[in-house]
Amino acid sequence: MSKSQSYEQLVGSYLDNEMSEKQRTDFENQLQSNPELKQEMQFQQEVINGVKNFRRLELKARLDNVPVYTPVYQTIAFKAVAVVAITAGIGFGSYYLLNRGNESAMEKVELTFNDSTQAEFEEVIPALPQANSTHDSSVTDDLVNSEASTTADIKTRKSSKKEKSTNAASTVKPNVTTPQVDIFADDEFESEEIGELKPSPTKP
Amino acid sequence: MNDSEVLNKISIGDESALDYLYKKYYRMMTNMVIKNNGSEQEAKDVYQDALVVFWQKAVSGNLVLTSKISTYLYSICQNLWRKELERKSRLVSDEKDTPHHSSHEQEEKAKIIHDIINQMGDTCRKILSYHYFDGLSMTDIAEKVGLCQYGYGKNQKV
Repeated sequence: MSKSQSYEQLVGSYLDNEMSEKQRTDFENQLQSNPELKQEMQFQQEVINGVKNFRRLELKARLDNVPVYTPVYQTIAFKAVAVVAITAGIGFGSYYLLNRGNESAMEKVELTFNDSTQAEFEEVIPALPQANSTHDSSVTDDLVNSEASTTADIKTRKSSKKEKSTNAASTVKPNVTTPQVDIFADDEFESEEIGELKPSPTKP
Repeated sequence: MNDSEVLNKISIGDESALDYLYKKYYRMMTNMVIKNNGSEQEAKDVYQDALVVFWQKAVSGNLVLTSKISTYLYSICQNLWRKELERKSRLVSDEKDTPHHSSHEQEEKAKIIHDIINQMGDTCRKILSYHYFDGLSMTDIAEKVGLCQYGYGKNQKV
């Protein structure tokens, strides 16, 4: 009884690191030759492992009860909805803006070029610089005569805004930007512009 | 909470710090397992084990972190998952070769011990857990379980 009790305490203080270096080595030597001590040692280790394991499971059970919500902005569903919403927004927005822009541009062309051909209407943007060039003071008669050829020129280049090598190019160039600005200008400004431009075709 | 605040909380045995870490890195850690042939449940298990290992090291105040907590946790997860994968492949390869009598017996024993611990009073069990698993000092344990005398804690343990 007292023997097993001393074994118990011996093993206890060994496992609790309460022994000096010499005591430890003595104990370890004894462990090899004493099966009873060895058994006590094993038993205590098993209990300790049991306690550790119990605690481990306890902590894991605690974590299991922690809700692992993923923030709403990180869920796949939310991302999908966001993408759809943004695309739709951009779509409608640009549709609206472009439509508005086209309308005003068209209107203007109609007002400035009563005698324009159908073909020129189709190329709204390239046609505009042509139009503005006609009321520029520096434009000469032969420029007006060459109007047809330059229009063709622009058409082949589609809506490219690069300058032309002809005389007309230098005069046309500054005006190229104005129609683009007009697209986003508000209605008041637009009508003013139109008012200014209106007499222009009659000038030459 | 930054890393040192978390470590401070853990060192005084505040388990809410564990909850905080668990939530914070849940996706990051579980994704690693899931991307390496693991199921959601396995991923969760590995991550929880890793956190418990981290807790055990940090709570005794002996852990000296040279990296961020997340990096450290991530490497624990990787090691645990690697071990688990090895274990699984071993299980498949020598399922019939080695008999498992001894391990079966040990399992029985472990279960009995588990049941006995379960029957213990709350305070008793806590003292044992804090001492053997968390590695807290007797003074810390006494404080945590609401006892004030060192000697009393020691007696309860034995």
